[in-house]
Parts: sequence; C-alpha cells; structure tokens
Amino acid sequence: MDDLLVKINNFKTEIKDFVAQNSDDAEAFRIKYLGTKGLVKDVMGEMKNVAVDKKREFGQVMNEFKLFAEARYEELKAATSTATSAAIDEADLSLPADTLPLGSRHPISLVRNRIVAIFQRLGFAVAEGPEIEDDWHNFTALNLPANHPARDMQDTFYINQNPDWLLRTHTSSVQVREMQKGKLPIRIICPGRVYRNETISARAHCFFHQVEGLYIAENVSFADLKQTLYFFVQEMFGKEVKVRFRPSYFPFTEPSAEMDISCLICGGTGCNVCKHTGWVEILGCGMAHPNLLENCGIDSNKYTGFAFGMGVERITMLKYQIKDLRLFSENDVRFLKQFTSAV
Amino acid sequence: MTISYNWLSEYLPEKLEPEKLSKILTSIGLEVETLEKYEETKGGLEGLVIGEVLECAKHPDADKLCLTKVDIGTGEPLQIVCGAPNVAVGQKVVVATVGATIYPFSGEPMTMKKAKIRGSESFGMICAEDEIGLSSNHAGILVLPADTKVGMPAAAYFGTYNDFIYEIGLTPNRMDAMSHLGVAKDVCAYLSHHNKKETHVKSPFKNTFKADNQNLPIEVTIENEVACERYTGVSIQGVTITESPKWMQQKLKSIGLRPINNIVDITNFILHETGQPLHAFDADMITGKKIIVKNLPEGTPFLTLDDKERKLSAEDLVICNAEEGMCIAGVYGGARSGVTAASNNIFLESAWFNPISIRKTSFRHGLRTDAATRFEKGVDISNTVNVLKRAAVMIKEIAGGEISSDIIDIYPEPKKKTEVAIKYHYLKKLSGKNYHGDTIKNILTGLGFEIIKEGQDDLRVAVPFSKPDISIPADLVEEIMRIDGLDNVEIPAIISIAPAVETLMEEAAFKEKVATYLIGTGFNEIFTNSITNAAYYNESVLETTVKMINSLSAGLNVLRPQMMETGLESVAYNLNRRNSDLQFFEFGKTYSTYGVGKYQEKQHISIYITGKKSADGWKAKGEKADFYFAKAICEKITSLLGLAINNYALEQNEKLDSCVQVKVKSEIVATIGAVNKKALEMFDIKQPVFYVDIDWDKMITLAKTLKISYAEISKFPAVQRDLSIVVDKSLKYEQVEKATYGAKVNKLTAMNLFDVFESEKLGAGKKSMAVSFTFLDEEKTMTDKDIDGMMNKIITAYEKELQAEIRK
Repeated sequence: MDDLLVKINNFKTEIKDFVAQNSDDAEAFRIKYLGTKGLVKDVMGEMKNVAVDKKREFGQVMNEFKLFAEARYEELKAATSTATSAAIDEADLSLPADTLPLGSRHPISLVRNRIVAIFQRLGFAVAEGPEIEDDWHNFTALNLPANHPARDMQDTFYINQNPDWLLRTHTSSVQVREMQKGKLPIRIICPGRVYRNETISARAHCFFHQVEGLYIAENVSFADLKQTLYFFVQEMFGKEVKVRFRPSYFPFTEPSAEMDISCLICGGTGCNVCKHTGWVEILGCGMAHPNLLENCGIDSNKYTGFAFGMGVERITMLKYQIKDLRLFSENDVRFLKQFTSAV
Repeated sequence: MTISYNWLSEYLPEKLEPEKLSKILTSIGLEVETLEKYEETKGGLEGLVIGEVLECAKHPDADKLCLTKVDIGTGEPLQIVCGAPNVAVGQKVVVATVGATIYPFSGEPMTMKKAKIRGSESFGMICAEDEIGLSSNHAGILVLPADTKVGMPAAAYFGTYNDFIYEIGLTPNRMDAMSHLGVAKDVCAYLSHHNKKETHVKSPFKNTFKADNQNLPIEVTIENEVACERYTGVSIQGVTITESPKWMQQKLKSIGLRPINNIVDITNFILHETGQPLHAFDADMITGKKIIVKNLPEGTPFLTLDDKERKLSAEDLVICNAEEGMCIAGVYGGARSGVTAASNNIFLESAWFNPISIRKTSFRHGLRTDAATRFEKGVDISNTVNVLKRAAVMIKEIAGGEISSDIIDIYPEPKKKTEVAIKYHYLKKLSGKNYHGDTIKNILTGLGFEIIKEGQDDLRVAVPFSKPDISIPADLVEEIMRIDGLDNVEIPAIISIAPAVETLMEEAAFKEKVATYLIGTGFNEIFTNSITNAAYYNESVLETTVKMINSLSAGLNVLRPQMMETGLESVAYNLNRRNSDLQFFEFGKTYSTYGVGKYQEKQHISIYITGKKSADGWKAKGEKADFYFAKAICEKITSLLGLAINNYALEQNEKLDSCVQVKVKSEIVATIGAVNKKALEMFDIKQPVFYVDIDWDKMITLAKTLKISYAEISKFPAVQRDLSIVVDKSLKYEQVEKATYGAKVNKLTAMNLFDVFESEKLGAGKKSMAVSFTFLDEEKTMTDKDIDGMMNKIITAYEKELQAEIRK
C-alpha cells in the first residue's frame, strides 16, 4: 500500500515540475496524465487491490491526486494559450467611449411615417401623385369652380395660365386621380408635399406636408369617419386624449367638420397653446360632396364616402411643442439632433 | 367675425353665460376662436376711488408740486404729492390708490406704488382724464361735481361698460350668420332642439314705420336687373348730424368700429345687427331726384370716398343720379354724394346686388369693404324692406327729421325660394345616426326652413333666402347634424372596411432601410424647400426649369431642377453657426418641364459630407471625411438595394470636382464628387463639401427586379494570399482590377487593396500596391500547389499587362 502512496507522491512532484513551452506541450501533459490511457487512470485502477478497510482512506487520496493533475492541466493550458482576452491591465474604465457618430431622422419623416402606419393598420393603402397639377385636379373637380370664394382660402402658386398649371395646394388632387381610375371601393391615404403662396413666418410656410385620406364604398357614414379618426387620435396621442368634432366648411365635403383634441400641454384647462380654449384643431374632414363624386365619375346615389386631411407639420409641432415652422427647413443640427431618440 | 356678448344677448329670449354660449356657438359651427373680456375703459377703473382734497400746501422742496391730504372715505386721509396746477382744497377728485393699475389713454399701463417725491412720501395719485384712459384730455386733474360721494369707486361713478367679445372663425358658407341677429337665430335653433321647447329670437323689427310726408320722393330705375335684383330706399328730411348715443357708440366700439356720426353709426349698427349693408346718400346731391342703377362706360373716372379717382370698368355696377355716378354699388361710396356733417336730407339705400358682380368689382378696385364681403356671399333678398324700415325709424328717433317718402321698393322679378327634398334613409346613410322624423322637422323649421311637403320617408322644404348656400340634400344633412351636434353621433364598436392592397410597400421599405443605415452611420436627415432661386442655375438648366408666375420673392421663384443647392443652403446655415462637421441626407424631388403640361418630377437622395467623420477621441483624432468616404456611402446604399456597381466613369461636371458617375447595369444611378470652388462660393462655404446625388427612381426600378434566392454555404474554407507589386505611379487601380479579372482565375472570389505607397527605394515614378486575394473552391480543400498556380496566373497577367514588378 505504501508503494502506491510513494508512487502517487512521485507523480505529484513530476506533475508539479512539468514544463510546457506551448499548447502542444500542455496537450502532451493531458494525454500523459489525464488521457483515457493516462497515468491517473492507471493509479485509479490500483484501487481494486486496496484492502477493504483502507478503501475509504485511499479513495480520498486518489481523488485528491486526480484533482491535482486536473488543476495543473488547466494551469498549463492557460499559460500556453494563444487566445487573448480583451481585458486591459489596470485600465481606467471610466475613460470616454469611442466617438462613434449617430445621426437622426427628421421629425417630419417620423411623424409622417407614424400617421401612415396608423392608417395602414386600418387597411388604408398609400397613394401618391404629382406636385405639379392642373387646375381641374386641384380645384374644379373638388367642387371649387372658377370664381368660387373658397379659392381665396388657398393662395396658389401658378406655373402656367390658360391652361392653368399650379403647385398643388393639397393632396386632395391625388384622391381625385384615384377616384378617376374608377376602381371602387377606394381606401387610401395620400401623404405628400403641398404648396401655398404665403409669406414665410413662424406660422406659415410656402411648402409643407399633408396626409389626406379617402374611403368610398356603399354605406359609408359620418359615424364611420368619427370611428376611424378617433382610432387615429388614440394611437397618435394616447388613450386619455379627448376628441370633439365641430361643423365646418370645405367645398369638397358635405357635411364638413373639424376635429379638435384636448390640449396636450394643459390637458384641457386652458393655456397659450390652445388659446385658453382647452382644445387644439388637428384636422379637417367630412363626407365626400356629391358633386365631387360625380365630377370623378362615381355614382353618388350608390356610393358615399369620407375624406380627411391633416398637416404633418401641425401634428409635429403639437407633438414636440415646436413653435416655429421655419425650424423644419432650416435644418440646424442642434434642432435635428433633438430627435435622435424619437420614434 | 366679431360678435359682442351683450349685443347678441339682446336677441336671445333667455340669459346664457358667456362660456356656455361660447360652447354652443362652437358646436353649431360658429367656432369661437377667442373669448375675451372687453372693458370700454381699460382695467375697468379698478382701484380708483373718489376723494376730497382736504389740504393743499406748497411742496417744501419743489415749486411746481403740491403736498395734499386727500380723504378717500377710509377715515385716514392720504398724503399725495400732486403736480397739477389746478389742484385745490375742497375738490372732488379721482384717486389711484397704491396697488391700482392705471391704463393711460396712450402709453404703457402703470401700477401705483408708495413713492418718495422730492423727499415727501406720496400714497397714490390724483388723476387727469388721460391718465386713466377716459379721454385724451390732459388739462390738469379731473375735478368732479361737489356733491360726488367720497369713497365711491370710480367705476361706479363713471359707469364703465364691460362686455365679452367672441372672435368667430366664420366659414364662407355661413353668410346667414354674418350678423348678431343671424347668430342669435342659430342659437335659438339649438335651444329649441336641445331644450325641447320652441325658442325664437327677440326680433328688433317692429311695425312702427310710417311716412310723415311725401316731400322728397326719389324715382328709382334699375337698368341692370341681373346685377341688382332688388333696390329699396327711403328719404328722410331734416336730420341733425351729430354724435350717436352712448349705447350705440359702446356697441360699435366693442366690436372694433370707430363711431363717426349718428347716421353712419346707425347704418353700421344695422349692418352688424341684420347683415344687410345700407348706404346713406346726401339727398341734396341726388340730382334730378333720380336714382339709376346701371353700368357706366369703360374708363369713366369716379372720385371715391377716399378722394381717389378710379377708372370704372364697364362691368362695375354704379348707383347714379340723373347726371353722374354716386356710388360703386355695394362696394364703396363716392366722395360727393355721401353724408357729411352738413347734410340735412338723406336717402337711405337697402339693396341686393349680384354676388359675382360685387366680388369682381371689389377685387378689381382692391376695395374689400364690409359691405362688399357681405354682398358677395349673398344677403337676404327678402329682408331689404324690413331692415330699411328699422333704420328709418331709428334715424328719426336718434337724428330727428321726418320720413319724407314711402318705402320705394323695386323688385322686378321676385325670387322663388329654392326647394330641397331630403329622404330620411339618406340622412341615416350619410350621418350614421337615426334621427326621428319630428326631430328633423323641428330642427329645419327652427332654422327658418319652410315645410312644403311631407312624406313617409321624405320631406320637402323651402330654403330661407338667408341661406343661399343650401341647394342639395347633403346640405340639409349638415344643417340637421350641426344643430343636433356632431358629438352626438355614436362611434360604432366594430370597424368595417373594404381593404386596399398596398402597392408602394416595397419602395417605402427600401427608403426606410437606407434612412436607418445613414442614421446609424451618423447622418442627419434634412428637409429643404423645393422652391428655390433661379440664380443658382445656368441658362441651359433654366431652359427646362419649372418657373412660377407668382413668386413669393426673387429668391424663391423656381422649382429646383437639381438637389444640391437647397441642401448647401442648410450646410452653410450650420457652418455659419460653427457646426463644422456635418453629414446630411435628404429624400427629395427635382422638377423639370418640356413644355406646358409636360412636367417631370424625379426622386433623389442627396448626401452632403463636410468636416470630420467622427469627433476627436482620446485614442484617435477624428478623421476628415474625403471622396472615398462619400464613395463608400454610395456603395453601401447600392448594396442595401442589392445592386452591384459595375463602373465608375469620370465625369466633367459644372459644379463638382473629382466627379464620377456610378453605373449599375450600365445605367447611371449616382454622381459623386467634391463641390467645386465656384459652387461653394455661392453659399460662402469655406471648407470642402462632398456630395452624392442618387437617382432614387432608377435605383428603385433596378432593385425591384431582383429576387433573392439562398445559395448553399461552402463546406470548405476560403484561403487568402497577399501580393505586393511595384508599378508606374500613373497606373489606376481599375487597371489592376481589370488585369486580375482578365487572368480568369475562377476560384478567386474577392480582391482587396490594402496598401498603396511611394518611396525613394521604389524609384522615381513608381508606387507599390498591396492586394490580398481570397480563393474558394466549393468542391474541395485547396492545396498550396493549387493556390500557387492561381497566384502565378495573376502575377503573369500583372507583369504582362501592368509591367508590374513583384515585390518579394
């Protein structure tokens, strides 16, 4: 029995003194001692010759020997390993991170995309059209014949007269083009850039963006319009926002309405943003005027429909409390970077 | 439109609080944009009391000041320093006490504080009329009658007039509500419906008109019956022109009108009460006692009320006397025929003029008067007589005189009311609400519609003349819905849709992908004005540029034919604010024309890079962006669309140096370059800017044709080999690429240039290029021998094609 103990002690010394220059040496060590035909296994095999009453004691010794050999292997393996850890000795981990650049999306894009996404959830498809339009698509078809006083509501940029070509004053012209295609029902939203001949100021600009919507089918009612827009407001501004509809006027809808939401700043108690009314206007809407439908070749006895339109800039200004329209096209990076985290 | 709460309330049978009324107005489509308190005297004279001067002595240290003791009824007289020469013991005066804010007739409001004036304390101020906004009078302090009660609030003594003012955003279809009475009628319709009780306006029209004599008959003839469908008039003799009574002045002032004299004020009052414009002529100026409504020859000169001579158009309708024009009908008066302070006899007109004719004349002469804006929307043709009678009686009461003619009423072809039928099921279909038949009838009659015929499922009504905009059933739907309230239409729980197929999904997704990549790389998205300055472009570009006929300014007169300039404006804007490291991108359109009606709009991505790619850090300084960075961005975007660039072609560009055109499948999809000096100078930019213009329409068309199908990943490892060559300095990398591909090594999957340098050792005119090659065999693991063979092919090609020397 003592022989075995001596043998084990000798092996231990040998193991302790084993030198590994590289990972191949470490692997040789493993094969020699810990391999399937290794010395540790051999020694363990001696167990069968140990007297029964000593088995317990020897068991401990041998187990310890095995652990000793395994620990030494790990040591050798680590020492000769060529893998490198990224750990830095005594580094100041508080040093600043690398200066990776990070850009930002323009707030108008963010809000436009959000509006479009909400309506897409309700099964609306996006339709686009030209910004340079003829008078018929921008005005006449929309129940705004020449000399109609409501034409005064929209100051128009003309690029040709007789025949009249102009920069569209709303994306309703896209709706007209879709209706003319004659494929019913129609369920579209029309995002895009529009133009008005207005002096540039904090509250007005000569170009801005709209999203308009149109749904034409049999038996579409004002109640359906309210439902769609109510859904939109809740998705856009949150469930706690209140909505009111009030009668208004647009030549291409009858009845017409404007939708107000409870002021996002004061919650409806009255502040400067809502001119102390507690409400802010966010969009115009109404039931497609029979003249509009007929102008576009749709039977107004059979079909009804609703339409709505909103200014992307206006919604953006409300959402982010921006008070000057000019900021959107000045592109000051100090403005743009404020939207890095916006979604 | 401005509506006074007090004034409006006079026509309402029940009292409503200003806030409550405001909510009603908005809910029926008369949107209250603002509701403001009105005080005839600003501040309402609050904190001002009547006092008595008890003592008045010379100020010890100032000649022109007095030291007074004033009793204001508190038992403790106040010491006040006063500078007015007329102050004296025993006077009853107005005292502004400490804490009161006074609103002078002109100048800023001022809050009273305890003050020390030349060493003497002063607890307030004895006021002059102008100092508290009562008038412009500054002739010393205001001295009140001796029996005025001390301690009385000044507001109670002067009886200030307070009101609430609604600013209503009136829509163009609501001509019926362009007056206080019109608004009151709408409110009554609302009250009738919601209180389930018939409610009518308190009508100002009383049947008290009576001609006193027939001493001043005027003969009226309408020559142009299209432009003037009805002309009503009456003459009044012996009026006294003076100020109008206080109550009328207060009402006019509260809605922002300046009182002028009793006759003018009455016509203005009636206009804002009823919506019917009136015109008062000096009857002595009506030559021949004849009024002829007609057109005058083109170019006829006419002196208007503002003393300007205008040339009349043959289409302008003119109110003439036997000899000449007196007034541009419904638009503006003449200088000679109007009522003046010296007028004695007047002729009052109440007429109906054609809206289109009025509108044209009003715009032609730039005269957007109150009367014109009403006539052009259509006034109530049935009401001219009633209004005229009310005005005549009022003039007689206020300005005296005698009504000297009967009502002269020329109405050649009395108008018939428009009739509209509404089917109940149509109302339900359009509104989504089931209105009861009685409700419908009550609302419509409440609004002044007359029921002509009633059926099982329909109703035929006659439209009141005050609502010329109503002509189709949908208009009636709106009338019913707005009175009932749009908020009373229930929102259904289930949404039913006819789904539409999205066709632009893919393009939008590509756009988002590119935007996300650019943002991750450090780019900020910009939006620039597509209306820009023609001066940015040369003549040949301008030939096809879309120009505006009516532009905002010389600097904003064309639609951009190219993207670069509007973005450079933004670059310059930021550089001027000391932000010098910029990376911008914009999705935008350019516009061009090839003749009237032939317009083209093209989509682009424009990219602007200037300054450093990233900020300086402690490990490395930020690297300056250069052409190759711009090129990399362009390549990555192309890759994101699944496209491979097959050629960069050098390009002479008017605005870009180092310019290349990027080709995919031999189509130009992008241009890359450094903005040249001349272009930079146009925006006063002093540092290099790199620019990429991507033809998005073309890119997206090419991208759409691609289909991705998965390719098996090789089981065998790829092998890399490096090679250094020495070549002529002038040799281009693309020649190296060409030679490589010319060697036709089919297992070569990639090559990458990783070093370029020149040195004396290499010899003059030489440079070294180091390239790494990646080889892959899908079938087996390649041996060294295999690879050597392939490398030799490449080396041979380099030696032969490039006269390259291989570095060992």
